[in-house]
Parts: sequence; C-alpha cells; structure tokens
Amino acid sequence: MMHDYQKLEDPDLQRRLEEELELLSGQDQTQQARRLHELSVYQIELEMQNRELREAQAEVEEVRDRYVHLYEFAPVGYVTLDRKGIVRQINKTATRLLNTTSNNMVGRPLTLFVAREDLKHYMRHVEHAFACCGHVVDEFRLQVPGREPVTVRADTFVSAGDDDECRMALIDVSEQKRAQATAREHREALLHAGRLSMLGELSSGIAHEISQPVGAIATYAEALRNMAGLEKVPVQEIVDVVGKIAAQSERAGVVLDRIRTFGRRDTHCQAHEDILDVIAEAIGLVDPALKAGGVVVSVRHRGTLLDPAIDRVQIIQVLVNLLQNANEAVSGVPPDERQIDIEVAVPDRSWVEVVVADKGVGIAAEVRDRLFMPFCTNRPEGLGLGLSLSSSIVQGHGGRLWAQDNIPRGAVFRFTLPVFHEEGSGP
Amino acid sequence: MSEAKGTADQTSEPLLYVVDDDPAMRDALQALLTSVGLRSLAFSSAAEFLEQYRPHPEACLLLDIRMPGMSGLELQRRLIDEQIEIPVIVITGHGDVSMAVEAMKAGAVDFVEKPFREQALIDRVTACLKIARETHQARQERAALEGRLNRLSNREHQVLEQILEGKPSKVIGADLEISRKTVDVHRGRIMEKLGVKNVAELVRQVTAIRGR
Repeated sequence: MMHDYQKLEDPDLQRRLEEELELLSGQDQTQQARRLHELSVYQIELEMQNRELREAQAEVEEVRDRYVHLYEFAPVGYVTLDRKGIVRQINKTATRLLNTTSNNMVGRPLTLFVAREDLKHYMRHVEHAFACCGHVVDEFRLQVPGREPVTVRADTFVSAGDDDECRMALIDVSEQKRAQATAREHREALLHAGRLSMLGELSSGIAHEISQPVGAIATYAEALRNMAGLEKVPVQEIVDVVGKIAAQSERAGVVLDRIRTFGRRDTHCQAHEDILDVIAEAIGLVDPALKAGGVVVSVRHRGTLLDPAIDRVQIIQVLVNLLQNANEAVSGVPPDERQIDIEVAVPDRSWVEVVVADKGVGIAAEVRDRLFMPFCTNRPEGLGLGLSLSSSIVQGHGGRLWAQDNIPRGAVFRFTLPVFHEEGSGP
Repeated sequence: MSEAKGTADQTSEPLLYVVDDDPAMRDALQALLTSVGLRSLAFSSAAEFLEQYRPHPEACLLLDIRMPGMSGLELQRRLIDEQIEIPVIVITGHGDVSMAVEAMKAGAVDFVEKPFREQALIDRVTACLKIARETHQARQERAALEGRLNRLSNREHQVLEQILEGKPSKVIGADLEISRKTVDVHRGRIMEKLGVKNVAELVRQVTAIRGR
C-alpha cells in the first residue's frame, strides 16, 4: 500500500520510518489502525514539545539581545584582555572611545591606544590585576591618533575561577579632570589676588626698604664723584666705596627677589621646607610695617623641627596674613606691649604646629563666628579675604587653622602642617 | 640754652651730626660729607644722639624721619623741650610729603628727599651750617649785651626803661624827680656801657634780646 508522507531529512529517522512502514504493511487492519492512532498521538506531543522549544529559544534570544545591547551600549567601555594583554572582546562604547571597530581591535593589544608616557603605568596596572586576582582601580591616558589624549579610570577585574583573562571597565574622566584643573586654576588665581592685595598693603613699607639701599648707593656715588675731583685721588678709598655700592645693590636685589617670589602666580610645588626659614621670609615681607609701628617679633621653637611638605609661597602667604592681622591688633596697645610671639612645635613626628600670638585688642565678639569666612573684616582697606584664604591654604595642605583668645588679652592663631604630604589631599 | 650737656666742642670746624638707623645710609652720608671736607658724627638712634650730643658753634643735624624707637619727629620735640638749639635737616623718603610737612612744622630748617638729587644734600648742608653760624654769632652777641646790661646801676636801669618807652629826657626827669641834666648824664653813661652810638641802636639791641 502507498503512504503519503514527506521524506525526512535525517537519514537515520528516514530508515526508522521505513522500518515502521514495513512493519505496518505486514499487520492486519485493526492493528494498523491502532498503530496509526498511536503515531498521531506521538505527532501531537512532538508538535507541542516543538512549540515549547521554539518559545524557549525565542526567550533565550531576547535575553541574549538584551544583554548584548546592555553590553555594547553601556556608558562604560568594556574590554576583555588575555594574559598577554590582547583584546578578546570589546564593547561599542570602548570602540567609540578608541575611534575604532570591534573587528579592528579583537586580537590586537590595547597598548596600541595607551599614551606612551603612561605605558609603564598601564602595564603595572594589568599585571597587578592578574597578580592579586581581584579588583584594581587606576587612571591612565589613552591616545587615539588625531585626537586629544583622554584620561580614563580603569576598573580591572580578574576572577579566581577564570584567571586567564581580565575584564576592564573604562570611564572617560577627562571632563572631570578638566573641571578639577579649572577649579584649581581659579583657586590659584584667587590666592594670587590675595597675595597682590597684601603686597599693596605692604607697598609703602617695602618701598622704604628698597629706598634705603638705593639712597645709600646714590649717596656713595655722589661721594665718589667728589673724591674723583680731588687733586690726590684716594684710590683705595674709591675701591672701598665701590665695594659698598655693590653690597647695597645686592641688598636691594634681595628685597626685590622676595617681592617677585611672593607676587608670582604659579606656585603649587610642594617640597620639604625649613619652617623657620619660611617664617623668616614672611617676617621679612612684613618687617617694614612692623618697624613703623615699633612692633617686635620673636620666634621660638621647641624640640627638633621637621621640615613639612609645603608650597613655600602659600605658607608664607598664611604667615604674612597672620602677621598683618597681629600687627593691626597691637597698634592699639601701649608701645611696650606691641609684641608678636611666633612659636613652632612638633606635637608628634607627623605634624608641625605654628603658633602666632599677640597681646593686641583680641578677636571682636561680632566677628568671632565669621572669622574664617570671606569678606569678614574690620579694616577699611582690607578685602576680608585674608583668613578665609589662609584657612583654605592650610586645609589644602591637609592641616588646620584655628583661633583662640590669648590670656589675659589678645589673640592666638594656630595652624598645623603635615610633615608628609598625603596623596590627594594637596592643593 | 642748656649747658648741662657738657662743655662745647672746642674745635671750631663745622660739624654734622647724622642720625639714621640704617648703617649703610649712615656710612654713605659720612662718606659724602667727608668727600666735601666736612667732619661728621653718626648715631644709630635718636636716644644715642641725645646722650652724646655736645653743643658746638657750627653744627647741624641730619635726621632720618623714619626710625624705630624714637622717631625723627619725636627727637625734634625733645630738642625743643630740652632747649637744644641746633638747625635740623630732615631726611624723608621719596614722596613722603606729609612727613616732610610735619617735620617743618616741628621746626626743621629744611628737608631733603631720599635718594638725594645731585648736590641737593650738600647745598642744604652748606645753607644750614650758615644758619648755625649766624645763630651762634647772634647768641654770642646777645650774651655780651646781657653782660653789659648787668653792669648798669639801678638808676640807669630806671632811666633805660623810660627811654625804651620813648619818653624825652624832660619827662623822665619829672617822673624820677631828677633834673633833665642828670637824665642826660645817665643816658650818656648807659650808651657808653652798652657800647651803642645812638638811641635807635640802643632800642633795637635791647628789644632784640628781650624777644620783642
């Protein structure tokens, strides 16, 4: 008998079907009918299973698509690297970051896009991730041909069970870095403006300090002219006077250098500085103003001093500010009490503390709460930025500036500076 | 004037006192003064000057106005208080006009701005020494006249007072109840003792020392 059926693709199944048909042809009609019914039931079951399978597959595909989408278009660049640093997989965000394609990247090392000067840094980062078999974070720059370098933060992860590759998440932090740089620039400009304002207030005293050697030079020069006109020219005396002129011009040079350094805009270089030397420099700047008011400054220190890691010019700025305030405060007390005492101490091996104390009029009750806030002043010529800038400088160094009352009268300002510069706490 | 500070410097050579807290400025001033043949003594503070000052017939003081401790202005006040008569040239910073004005008000003869323009200081010093010399001379003349006045008798003093009031001999005689002739004799003795030639000179000299 003839059966209508589709030929099956699978030869194995085809063979089994033909055996089944062979078997059927040798049976009676009742048996054939029963067998046919059984087969129909199987067919229905199979179709049902088939439909479920198709549904399950569609679901898997949907999940996979969703994952691929999430992976490819995540806001973070993902790169999977083998132990040699060769890219195994890279998402779209990362290829966009590198201005390339996935096909172009897979099988090639990521170092092609690491800025040359950060190459060692990058290698250490990856090595570290494999070595510790965990999560490490770092920053380095990527250099894409024809583009500005991009600073990225890399979170690199190696899982213990799968340690022949690492997964790296890359975030472009250039914008953040730029914003930080801009903020730093603004802060520096403000500190610079503060220093210029101080120089303005100190200018008459400084002018006096320069006019002394200049006046001496002019006077020596006139004496020289007179001596040259004498019948017997006293050569040795002339040589002596010339030597004195040279010494005075050097003296004027020292004052000018001090002003130039203090008025400089770019500072931000931290180094271990001799704090007594920094204090002497600050006193040098305020000295003419102190002298004019008959104010005496003493500097004492206790114990062995350590050199804190500081931005020299900025700490001079803090000291000049405190000295100016103290000078102002003692101008209203009898001449024999016009004294400013500076003391340096090392409370422990990690801090240097500087104390500036006076017996002046003290801190007025109405400004006490706002002392370190901007525009707080009781001087008509002051901007009221001094203490707020000083406090910000000290904090930028990882230290603290605070005020106390002196006993029985006057004010005490104290600030601390760490001996070692902490990473990230710098100005 | 006070002589309590000791005897006058015996040499008649002009002398410059220099008071400046800046050692270089002091030394330069002395070098300049020496170069024009002037003798000088320098002090680092007003107090040191007051302590060591001796009257001198031809001296003046070069004074830096801006010094720690006793300032130039304070020293000027002390000179007046202690009746030390010495012409003062004040040295001020360039453009320090208010200080210069204060110094002049306090009796300075002149002021000079630092740094000095060519010859400016020496010209002022020369002028100041001339004033010192003239003051000294006038002082000596006054002392001499005072000495001569002391030699007048009581009656002669009475007659002198009347002459100074401008009264003629007749009126004086009537006032003092003496004859006009006697008044004329006294008048002659007074002029002789004081060494003046006529009444005009007599009046001028006596009123001069009385400060009118």
